[in-house]
Amino acid sequence: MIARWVIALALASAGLAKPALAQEECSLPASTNSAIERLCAMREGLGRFSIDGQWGFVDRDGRIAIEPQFSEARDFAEGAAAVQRDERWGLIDRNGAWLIEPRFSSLDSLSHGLAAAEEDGKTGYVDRQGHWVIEPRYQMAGPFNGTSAMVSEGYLQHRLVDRNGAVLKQFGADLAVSVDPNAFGLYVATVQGRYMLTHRDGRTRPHPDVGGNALRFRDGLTVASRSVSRGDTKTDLYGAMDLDGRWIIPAKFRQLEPFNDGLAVALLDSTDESIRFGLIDRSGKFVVEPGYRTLQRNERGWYSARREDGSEDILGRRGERLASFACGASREESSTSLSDARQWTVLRGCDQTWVILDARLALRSKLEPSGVEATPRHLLLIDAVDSSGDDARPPRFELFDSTGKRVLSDPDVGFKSPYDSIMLMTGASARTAAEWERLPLALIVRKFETVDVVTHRYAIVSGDWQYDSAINRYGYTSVRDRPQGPLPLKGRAGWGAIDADGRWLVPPRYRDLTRFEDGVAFASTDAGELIVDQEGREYPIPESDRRFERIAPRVLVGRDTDGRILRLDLDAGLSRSQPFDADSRIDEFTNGLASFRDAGGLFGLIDSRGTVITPARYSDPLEPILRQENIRGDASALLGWRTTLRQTADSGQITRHGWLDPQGVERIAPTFDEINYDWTSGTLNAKRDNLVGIFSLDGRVIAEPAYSDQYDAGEGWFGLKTPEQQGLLDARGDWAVPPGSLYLADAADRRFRQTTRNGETVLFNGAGQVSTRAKPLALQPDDSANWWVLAADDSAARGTEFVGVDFRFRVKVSGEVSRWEHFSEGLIAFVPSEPNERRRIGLMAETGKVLGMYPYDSIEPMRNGFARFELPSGDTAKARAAGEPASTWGYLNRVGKVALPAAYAAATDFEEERAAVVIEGNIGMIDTTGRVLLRGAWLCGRDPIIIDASRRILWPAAARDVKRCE
Amino acid sequence: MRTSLTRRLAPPLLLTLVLCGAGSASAHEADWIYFPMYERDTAHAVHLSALRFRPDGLLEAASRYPRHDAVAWTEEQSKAGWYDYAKRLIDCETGFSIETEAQLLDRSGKPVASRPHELDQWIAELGGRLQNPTQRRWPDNSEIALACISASHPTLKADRARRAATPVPLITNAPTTQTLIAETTTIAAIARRHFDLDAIRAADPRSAEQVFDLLQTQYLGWRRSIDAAYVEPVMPDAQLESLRSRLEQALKNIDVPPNTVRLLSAHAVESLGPWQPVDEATQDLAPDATRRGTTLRVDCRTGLAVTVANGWYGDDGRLLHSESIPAATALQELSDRFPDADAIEPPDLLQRGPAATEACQFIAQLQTAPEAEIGARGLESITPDQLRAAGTPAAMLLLIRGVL
Repeated sequence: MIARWVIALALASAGLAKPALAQEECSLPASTNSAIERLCAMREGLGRFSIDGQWGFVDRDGRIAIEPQFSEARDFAEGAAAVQRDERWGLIDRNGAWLIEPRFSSLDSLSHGLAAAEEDGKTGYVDRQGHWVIEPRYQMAGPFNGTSAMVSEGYLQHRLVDRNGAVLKQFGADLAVSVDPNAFGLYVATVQGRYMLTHRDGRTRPHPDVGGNALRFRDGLTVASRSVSRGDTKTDLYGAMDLDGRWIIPAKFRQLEPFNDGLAVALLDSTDESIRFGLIDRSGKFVVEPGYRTLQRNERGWYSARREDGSEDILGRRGERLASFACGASREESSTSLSDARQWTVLRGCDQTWVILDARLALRSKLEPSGVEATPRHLLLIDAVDSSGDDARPPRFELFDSTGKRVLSDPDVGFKSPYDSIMLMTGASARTAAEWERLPLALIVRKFETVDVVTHRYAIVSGDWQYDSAINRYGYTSVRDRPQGPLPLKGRAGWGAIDADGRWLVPPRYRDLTRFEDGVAFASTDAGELIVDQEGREYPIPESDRRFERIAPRVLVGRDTDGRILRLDLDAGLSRSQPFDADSRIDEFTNGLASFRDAGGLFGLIDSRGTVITPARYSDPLEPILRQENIRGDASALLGWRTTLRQTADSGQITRHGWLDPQGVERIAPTFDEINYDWTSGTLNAKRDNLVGIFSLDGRVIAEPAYSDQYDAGEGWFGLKTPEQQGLLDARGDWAVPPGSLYLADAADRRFRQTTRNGETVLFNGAGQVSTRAKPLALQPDDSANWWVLAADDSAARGTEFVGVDFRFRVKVSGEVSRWEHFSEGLIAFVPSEPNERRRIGLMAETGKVLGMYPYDSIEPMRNGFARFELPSGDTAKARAAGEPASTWGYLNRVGKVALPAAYAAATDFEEERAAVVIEGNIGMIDTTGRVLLRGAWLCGRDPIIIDASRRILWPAAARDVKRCE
Repeated sequence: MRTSLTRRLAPPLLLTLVLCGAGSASAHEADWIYFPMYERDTAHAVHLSALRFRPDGLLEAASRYPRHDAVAWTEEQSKAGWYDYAKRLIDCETGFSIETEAQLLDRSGKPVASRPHELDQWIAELGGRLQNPTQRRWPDNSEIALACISASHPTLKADRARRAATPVPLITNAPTTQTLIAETTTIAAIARRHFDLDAIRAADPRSAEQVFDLLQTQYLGWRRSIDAAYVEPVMPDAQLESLRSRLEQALKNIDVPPNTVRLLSAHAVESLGPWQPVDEATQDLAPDATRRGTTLRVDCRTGLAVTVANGWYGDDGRLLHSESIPAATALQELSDRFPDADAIEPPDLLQRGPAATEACQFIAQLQTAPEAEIGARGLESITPDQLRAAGTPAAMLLLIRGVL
């Protein structure tokens, strides 16, 4: 428990911490030590306040109208207020007399004579005497809105009822309705989104009901579930459905994994503990009887099946048993090279080594391998050798081909020393067979001195080759680092390159030779650098101090000092482009193209001859999107180019994206907020206004950007969710505003809000009124509260333009106004373009007349004829140290004159001509002349009391008898 | 209509401060050391008049809390209760404590119900802390430390009594508790401030050795500011001599040259720092010197080291010339190392000191060797059965102290 009591020392330094209660209803900042804890706005002439943890009410004259005695209270409405005592709610009149004795667990304010009341977890309506007018039977009940109210009988079961509880309208389960009407008396109703299926070939289907499971088709089937009753409880059973939602395998399994190669892991529904996991086929029949405690499919297609006794079977992709480990479970030998050759698995356990090939063949090895290397065609197992010990011996190895045949082992190559080794030429699986066979199958390294070659026919060829550590890069390669032939090797006369059978293709005469890429390598001679092709032909490098970049087979590019592109085509020779501007920028080439910036600062694509392929019209460099990261050099890896366009709109600057194909042809115009490549489905997801669409890489529309969610459902299908739509229902339950794409829940008050739809600015309000540039709304009267800021980047210097709901100019403010600010009661505050200490903020009328310039931090919106302003303290740090507020608040009137000077540490707006303020650390109430009607204080430093401006004690009466403190 | 104030103003009209014995939950504001956990929180508080050191050095203490559900009371008791109140026994030397009684107080502070804690609860309470090293640091920033510091404070009770006797204006803008809550920060800070270089400077020490002695005195003062009952263990001369010879042997075993470490007390050593070449500026002081060394005094409990002398040595290790370090230089060196003394993390008394040097590590090992059976096992080794056998809260706390 002690840990719970750790002292929050920061809190002990009173006044430094921001009061947490400041965020709560009716509390004020800078009132941590106030006797009155909260004071709410006047309603019907009475204001709620809390003191000493109890709520009461004050009247407009500052008299305690109702003694603080309630643990909770709501505002007065229709002459009554709901209050809570002893955890029960009742209703009081303006004198504090009970209209309804406390008995409800919840009670709302009266509305049209009725109040929603909760009893025993259900809500109904009572009249002001507490009689049930509508019996409690609802889960939620909103206030009466004229003669009707919105209620809910459960999740998505909304009803509109009349004053007798009769259902006027019943809403379907696809409609979620707010039970509280907005300021216009309308209910926000949300039509739920629905999923559907679409295929990349254009077919569409209804989305099958799969019981909340993630839909993922494999072999044309998806796992689905249905709920069944088991006594008092419900449980889910699993089966498989086809595209049309037909149960192909009835839901009778307690667990069912997705199908692969026609089989699925299944657990029978049974209370019998001996019932285990097995494999079923597409007809639902067990092809591997359910006898295993666990059964898991490996991503390489085989299954690990473990029995109760801990033994393990390895099952092939058709369920056949490939290997068994009777003494316990196996472990998988891992190797980074195996990730490129996924058909191989090496398992060790129970003193056995098994090689699983393509999840269909199991080969037993006599070795205990310490190393595993693999290509898609071969697997090499090398056993552990301790070359430093007394029992050092040559290593042993086994080489298997893709039929499972052991094609080579250590006796075949005559290892003699512990320092002999074999290295498989590994690489990425994407390579073609032709590319593959330009390199030898493997290298035999003898004592790290000489190298022999293993050909693809498993012949051992000895040449005059010396070992160099550079050859190791052909054994351990990353995807980016794909080795290509011919193979550079060092002979007595220098470096050359050999083919797969060990013949010199490039004669050994170079001091150094890099790896070949697309048949080209860089060679060093005593005379300098040159380029060598795989036939041994030599090409000079035009300007050897320039860095050349390979951009396509037998083509390299560089830049000269004049900004020209140097293009070296080994077949056609050297060419130079036109010079580019000094400010121009050319990015790295990808698939023969590069993003460039023209003199106007816009971006496009050029080829290696400097020819503009895609004219410069985009705002940012074009971004190449690759099939996999870090393989820029592979032409086939380029999927396309993402474009970016920045535009100025009503709401400020917006960024749009589009798509070019690998050849630089625009396939999708830059009109989307986002475009991303989906690695799983190989499609583009494009988002606009929070709606997502799907495109193929050549720009074909698979799904229009009209959905709130999408997912890859497998086998070319996509799940698409239609967006929620919001409309407004009136008090009769009819659509006042039919469901549409605007989010109306935010629009409760009169002021118009702003959003975008298809890139177009849309203004809308809680009454469902909509205005666009194409269809502007003309409002009468033209309330300046509805005017809005036309965003500009330099509004601080140039001023801020306001336009009306009809998109026409209204007034210009000579300074900066946040785009969220609005005129309030015809006035608006602004920051002048060149503020100084005395003119930090201004106030302007809707006519354009500046009413005044002030040294204030802020001026809040005008409310009921007064605007609060905040005057900073001269020395904030000093004020804080002295325990004084860092700023004080006062009020301006409608003509911009100081109505009440800055004398309060905090203040609220005036409501019914009364405001709450903080005076000397205590919450108090003032009238519009600044007269303090009441305020909090402490009696003898101990008990909270309420006093008036003359420090007479107003509450509690008993405190007036205390004449001195002991 | 009755309000809380009208209830509290019923005769006797106002309560007077009662700074009497433990167990009395006086309502007077000045009788509480507040540790607010949220805004306007005046419930969380250590009960000042309940703090009393026992002859065995343990502290009787009590704290007040807002109501929580950890203790079940009858409905009637619960209705009358406004605060929870926990009496406990604390060992201010180790920070371990045991809750001995739970009470329910009404809003005026009067007990309405109480329930003693049982043996099993004590064992469970201690067991959790013993087994969880991450919850162990002493002194920490808990109300347990606040109780120890408050009880050890030389003037706090008198200050508060004086404050309680001072007339309060009839109407004030802020509650008295506001000032009292602000005091908690100052009180709690005592646990953090374990040395004060300005105070040493003001004492005008004559030598670096005296600076070192004053630091040690400050350490003792800090210990007593957390635990007024703390008595520094005194090692008899014979035992100190034995420790000295065992230390010499231990250092010899690791090839430390003789006379490079001297034991000053059970927790302080003087040692010769690493050799340095003689610089040109001091060559004249000892023309035959080939190397230079500094002599440090190290407090093994805090890790603080003070350079007390510079020596010039010949090739054979003979001291040819030495100079004492002036007090001002030693102080400046400390100031340079610790520009903000308050920011230095105070020692964790549940750990065996920072062991700044090998000599200190040996001292710690050699001193605990006779108690190896308990000391080597640490706090986690104390079993529920051992606690159960101890039987009483005091015996349990003293058992834990014995292991440290």
